[in-house]
Amino acid sequence: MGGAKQKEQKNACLSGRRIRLAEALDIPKETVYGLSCVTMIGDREIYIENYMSILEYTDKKLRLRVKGGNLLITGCRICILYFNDTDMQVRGCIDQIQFERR
Amino acid sequence: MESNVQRKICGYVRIQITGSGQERFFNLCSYRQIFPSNVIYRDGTCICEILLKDYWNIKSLVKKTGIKVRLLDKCGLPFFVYRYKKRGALVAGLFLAVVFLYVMSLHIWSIDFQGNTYYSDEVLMSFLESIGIKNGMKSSRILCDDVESAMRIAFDEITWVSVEIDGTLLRVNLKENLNTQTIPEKSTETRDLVSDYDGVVLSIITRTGTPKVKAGDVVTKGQVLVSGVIELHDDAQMVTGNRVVYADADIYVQTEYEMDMRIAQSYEVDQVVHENKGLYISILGRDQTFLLPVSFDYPVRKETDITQLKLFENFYLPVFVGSVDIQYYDTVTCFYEEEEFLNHCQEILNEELANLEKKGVEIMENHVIIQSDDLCAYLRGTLTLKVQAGVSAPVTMPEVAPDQSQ
Repeated sequence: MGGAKQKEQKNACLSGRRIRLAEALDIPKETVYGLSCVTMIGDREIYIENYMSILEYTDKKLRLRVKGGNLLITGCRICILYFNDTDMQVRGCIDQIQFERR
Repeated sequence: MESNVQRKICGYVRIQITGSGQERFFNLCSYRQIFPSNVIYRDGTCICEILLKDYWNIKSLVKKTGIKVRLLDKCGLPFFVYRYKKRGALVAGLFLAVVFLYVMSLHIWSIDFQGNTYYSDEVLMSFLESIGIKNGMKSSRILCDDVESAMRIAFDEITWVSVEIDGTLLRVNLKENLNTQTIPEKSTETRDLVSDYDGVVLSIITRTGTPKVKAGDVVTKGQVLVSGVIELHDDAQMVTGNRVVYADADIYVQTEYEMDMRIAQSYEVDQVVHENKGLYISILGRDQTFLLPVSFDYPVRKETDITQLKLFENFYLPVFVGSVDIQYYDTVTCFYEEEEFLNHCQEILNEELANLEKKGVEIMENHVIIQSDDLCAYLRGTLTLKVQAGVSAPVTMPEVAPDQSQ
């Protein structure tokens, strides 16, 4: 138990150093943290980077797994223009984007 | 993501996916580097497009996820070729067209000059031909830097030149030194200024030399107005020597100009007897004109309007198409009406006077009258002009008196 706690503390320390370094070098945060980045064009198109997997997809709802939770996109006529292992482009009439914490 | 063109060339299929494991199927596809596109959800099923090469690799994923895949449509070049395999000529024709366009795109089919006003397109074109640059040559053989330096060396007035290949167009942009006025070098030659008119001197302003006439003097053609010899005097006003210079002065002379001009009352007009239109086509330098078979024994006037075909903005083809307009005409002699003829004579007289004024001549008095008879008219009379006189001539040295020489 003690070893696991030490390891956790070491990781947190490393992460803290990495964050400070990234802030000093002005590196984009999503690159350092591995967080998803969502770019929205009006209410018609969404470009999502760093998603992990598709959890649910209908024409009214798209739920994606991202780091730290799920990203829920709701609207109507939602279609996935293309996707690869990291990026996805979604088109449709977007009503809401919601981040569901785990 | 593959571009649309790439997808069309590789071929893709549109499939319908039914079942509960659709999301898992897409995640597994992503994991295996298979990326469906245009995924649309419709009535519990997903419709998506997938590349043909990937379609053969999703069978195991379909089995694993328990979905059902139905093929809806086949699109792209492989399916097109397969569909039209019995129409070999059509496919071969399309293929040949693509090859033809590719081969055409490797050559230069048009040369465009921009920014030239002093040197005409023909002059620049003939120079380019002399260094081996011409229409139809391979664009890879053109070394733009070498052409630029050759042009700069050959044409003194070109201050900047840029040669670039844009599609099948060779574009030559250049700038010329239009400020060609140079300061004339001061002449070291010694000359007199002699009169080129008969008349009366109105005014004389001498800059260099010795004036030989004054305002009011009557001069004849060839008479020395300003001598290039300047006498040097000592304190006792005795001539001690001569200095020879280039005589220069502004001298205005009043002179008479006799006008005697005959104007015919008839004039000739070309009347078009027949007009024949045709088509002009030139492919790879071989030209052909298509005309209706008409023959007349009249002189012919031919006008051709040619346009070079191009596929895109800078993709010119070695094909020229145009219209040919051939006019057979007959020359007819017409006569002016009396009043019209007088107006015509007056116009000619005004034109002559305007031409004289353009030359810097001032018309002081005009005694020209129009005399007409049955067939022609005459512009006769005298014009009194104020003209600038004086042309350079070799210096006439003064004769040395025998007693002075001793």
